[in-house]
Parts: sequence; C-alpha cells; structure tokens
Amino acid sequence: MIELNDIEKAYRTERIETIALQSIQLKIHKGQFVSIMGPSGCGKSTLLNILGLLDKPSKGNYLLDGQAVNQLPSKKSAQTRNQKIGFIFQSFHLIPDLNVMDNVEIPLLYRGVGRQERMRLVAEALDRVQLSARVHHYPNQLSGGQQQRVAIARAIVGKPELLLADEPTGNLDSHMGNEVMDILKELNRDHQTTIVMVTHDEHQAKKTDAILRLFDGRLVA
Amino acid sequence: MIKHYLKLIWNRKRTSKWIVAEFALSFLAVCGAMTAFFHFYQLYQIPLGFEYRDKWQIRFQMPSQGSEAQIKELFRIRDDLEGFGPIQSVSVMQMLPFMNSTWSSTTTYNGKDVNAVHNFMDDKAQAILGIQLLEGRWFGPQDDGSDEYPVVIDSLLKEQLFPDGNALGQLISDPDDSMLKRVVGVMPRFRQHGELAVCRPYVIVRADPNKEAPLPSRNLVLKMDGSQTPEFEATLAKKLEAMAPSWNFNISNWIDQRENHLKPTLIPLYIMGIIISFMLLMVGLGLLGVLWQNVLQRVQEIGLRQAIGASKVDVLKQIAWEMVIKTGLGIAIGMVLALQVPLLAPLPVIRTVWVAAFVGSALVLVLLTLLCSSYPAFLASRIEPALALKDE
Repeated sequence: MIELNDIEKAYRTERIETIALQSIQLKIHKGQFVSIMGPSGCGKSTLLNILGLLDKPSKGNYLLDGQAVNQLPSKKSAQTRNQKIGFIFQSFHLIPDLNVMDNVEIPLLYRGVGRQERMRLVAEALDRVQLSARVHHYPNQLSGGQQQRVAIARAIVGKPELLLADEPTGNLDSHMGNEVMDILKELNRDHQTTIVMVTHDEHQAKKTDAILRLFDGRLVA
Repeated sequence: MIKHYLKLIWNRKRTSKWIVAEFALSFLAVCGAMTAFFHFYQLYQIPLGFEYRDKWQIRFQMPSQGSEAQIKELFRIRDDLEGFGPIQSVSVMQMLPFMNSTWSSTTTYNGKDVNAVHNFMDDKAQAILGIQLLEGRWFGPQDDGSDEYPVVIDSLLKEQLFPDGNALGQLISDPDDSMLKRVVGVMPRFRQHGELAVCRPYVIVRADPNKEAPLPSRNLVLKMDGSQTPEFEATLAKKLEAMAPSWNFNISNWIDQRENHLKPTLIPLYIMGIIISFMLLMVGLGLLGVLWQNVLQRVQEIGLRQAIGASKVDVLKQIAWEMVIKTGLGIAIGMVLALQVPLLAPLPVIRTVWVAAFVGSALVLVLLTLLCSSYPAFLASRIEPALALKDE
C-alpha cells in the first residue's frame, strides 16, 4: 500500500538548512494499523504530511498503491487525496459555520458526487460514528469527542483506502479518546482501511498493529 | 457546489450582510449615474433637426416691442444684410436655439390636446437652418393672404395628433380657436434646446410681416459662408447701428451659444462621473481589504479544503463565487429599490435607458468584484495545507 524509499525532507533558507526527515525506508501493507511515535519536533507530522501528499519530499520515492506520487502535479495530487486518503486532525478542523451533515459531505462535493448519493454516503458515515441523531447540529453544539467523530465521518465518507490521523485523541479525555480509538480499530478491522496514526500516547499506540518510532528525523524502530 | 457556497454565506450572514448592503447602495449610486449617462447619451443620438455651424444670431431690443412698423423694419434689415461680407443669407426667427426661452402652447385637433413648443420663422429659415422635410413643403409666397397661419409640425406632434391619418392640410388650433393653423409640412424633430434636452412636440408658424403674431419676431439668424472672422462682428455692429440707430442688439454665434447651453447639463454629469468613479474605487479598495482579511481568517478552512480534495482552482473559484453571490444579492436588493423610481415617480426616461442602466450597473459591480477578488483568491490558492493545518 505505502512504500517510502530513502525519503528526505529538508527546509532550506538562505542561511540555514534544517533536516526534518532523512533516509526513511518504510513499507505499510494494506489493512495495517500503524502508529508513529517520537518526541516533539522529530518529524512525525512532516512524515504524515508527505504520506498525505500535503507536502513533497526533498529526495526519495513515495509509492502509493504501486504508483509514484511524490512528484504529482498539484491538481492530480488533490484528486488522489480526495479519492484515496482521509485525514483526521488533533483539533478536528470542522468548519464552524456548517452543520454536521454539510461538514461531512465536503469531500464528496469535490468529487462531484450527486446529491442523493451524497446524502446516502453521509448518512452511512455518520451512522458508523454513531452521530446520526446530530446531523443538523453545528460544531459548537457538540462535545470534543463528538466533533472528532464528525471529523472521522468526514474522513471516511469517501471510503478512502488510507486514513491518516494526526494525534486524533490529543485533545480528548481518556474516555473520549478510547471511543475514537474504538472507531478507528473497527474501521481497520471491518473495512480493511489502512491507518497511520501519529500519537504521543503509548497506551493508544499499543492498540495498533505496529509502532514506528522517529528520532531526529530518522526511523529508529 | 453553488448551494454549498450559498449555505456558507447564509450561515455567515452577520458578516456577509454588510458587504451585501455595500453592494446594494453602490448599485443604487451607479444605477443613478448610468441612468443619467444613458438618458443623455440616447438624447444626444437624436439629430438636432437643424444645422448650427456657421450661424450667427442678432437679438434686437426694440423700444416698443412688436409694432407693425418695427416688424417691417426687421424684415428690411434682413434683406439688406444678405450678401454683406461673409453673410450668405438671413432669416427672421422668434425663438432662437440654445437659449432658455420657450413659447409653448396647447395645440388642438379633433378634441385632442397636445402641448407643443411654438416658434415663428420666415420663408428662408428652412434653407438657412438646413431643415429636411418629411412631408409637404415649407412656407412660401403661396401662403400670402391666407386666413390661417401656415405651420410646419414635427414628427413627434404628428404622431400624437394624427397617429393614423395624414397631417397635411389639416387645421389645428388653440383651445380657444384664437389662432387657426394649417399644416403645410412635416419635419423631423426640431430640438431648439439642444442635444441634451428632452424632445417635445414642435410647431413652426410662418413669420409674415403682414400678419399679426401673438409674439413678435425680433431676432435674425445669419448663415455665414465660412470665411467670417471675429473682427467681422465689429463691422457688422457698425452697419446695424447705422441701419437701426434706436435699437439695441447683441451678436453671437451658435457654436458658442450651444457650448454655453450644454454646460449646465454637462458639468453636473462630469462631477457625478468623478464622484461615482471615486466611490467605485473606494468600494473596490474596501472589498480588496475585506477579502484579504477574509482569506487570512480562513487559512485553516482553505487548508482543510485542500487537504480533503480541493484543487487550487477550486479555491480560486470558491473565493470568486462567494463574492459574486454576495454581489448578486446586493445587486438584487439594489434593483428592487431602484425599480421603485420608474414605478412610483415617472421620469422622462425611456424603458431602454432603465434596462441599459440596470444591466450596465450590474456588470460594472460584478467586474469590480472579480477584479478585487482575484488577488485575495490567488493568495488563498497559494496557502500550503500542511502549514495551514499545523496544530499550534
């Protein structure tokens, strides 16, 4: 599913070069649930951004489903994100002026899905995160856990093969965090969705199939 | 997608309403200016009905206005001036063009009344002014001794008094039948008050030295051969002093008269154009600032949209569409308000002018919106999702 060969990411200014990632070799198989751990600033989010095509590596190859994607043009890259990848963020990133249903349907709008099909897929996604009763609520009317479930529904509404989660339980208490992890585990188990999750929480990381540890931009385990 | 943008705008109505209100008010101002512009442009396109170049005028002030002897004297001066220096021919006229004086009177035919502007001109006026006739003839010796006053009417009066029939030979009069007039000719519109004045029905009555007129003629129009110089005015004045020593007179040319007559209409139009241009500039700059601010406030939203599938073009389109929708709403409200003017207070403005002003104002505002939203939209499309979504 995912193959990274000798990936390097460097941020260059006129005076300074900062290496965020170096010599990353990584293979993640379809249906795996992998967590990435490491101290702050070690490059976890940079790696996740490269996996999600939000950023380009300075060097190396990235194969997604066997296709080289690290140098895709911007439009193709947006299409790939829309069709193959779902994102979950620590601070949810819901649009506050749209209700639950309108937030969840956004990826489908960019895919050009018709209204009826959109409604069906949104209802299905919200049902999976047990928020069917809150479709007309606005984000500020929901708890943190519910907001993260809406974000998960938005991430899975287009049935992506790959789910990237950047500290999805980071802003939640342990109870809500466990709820979110249960949903992710269920998605991974029932739908064979590949999940890559960045976390600081050892307890949650232990629930995944494998833990990758990053230190100073290198994979150490 | 448009429905999605509409939802966003509606849900953000607390901020959107001010932009919509700004556009509604801008539409009213632009529409007002455009209505005036198109109205006067449409008037300007209508031919004057006479030739004003190489024409001079002499306005006399006589000691006892309108005596039979003075009228005969005026006609004698007319004949004497012909061929003097660059003067080709001379005509007697009661109301001169490009001046504010008007004589209007109700004209009646078959029980129908139309208020028309009246003027007196002599037999030579047609040739001197270059008036083209649509039907019939101008005045001539065949009208001598006629009981009625021979008149030439314009096409506007003909349409109103004789919508279906022939005007030639018909008798028209005043409501009290004090002045019976026979139509001998029909001419195109005659625009005594210049190109920017609203067209009014017009009647030219024959100025006849042997016939009593309600208002005496006291002006001469001189057709020059083109070789006249400003110095000739002094020569002409000397000759007039010799011919009519007890009369005061004033000489001027129609090019200057026309220019002075147009100024009171054109200057407010220029001022209005400048004010509206500045207003549009302010609206444009305001819009640019608001949109810029709007993009900065929505960095995370734009980053998120890019992360979940929006291309840079989608982002550009979203910013532009949102603004066009808000502009459209403002224009719609402005249009409803502006429509009250022609519906409630009829103005001398034709429907085509209203339509052109409405469409033109809407286009100007939409173009302004697209222009002003292009840079903020470009900035929005350059937002890097990885940076925008970074959790602090």
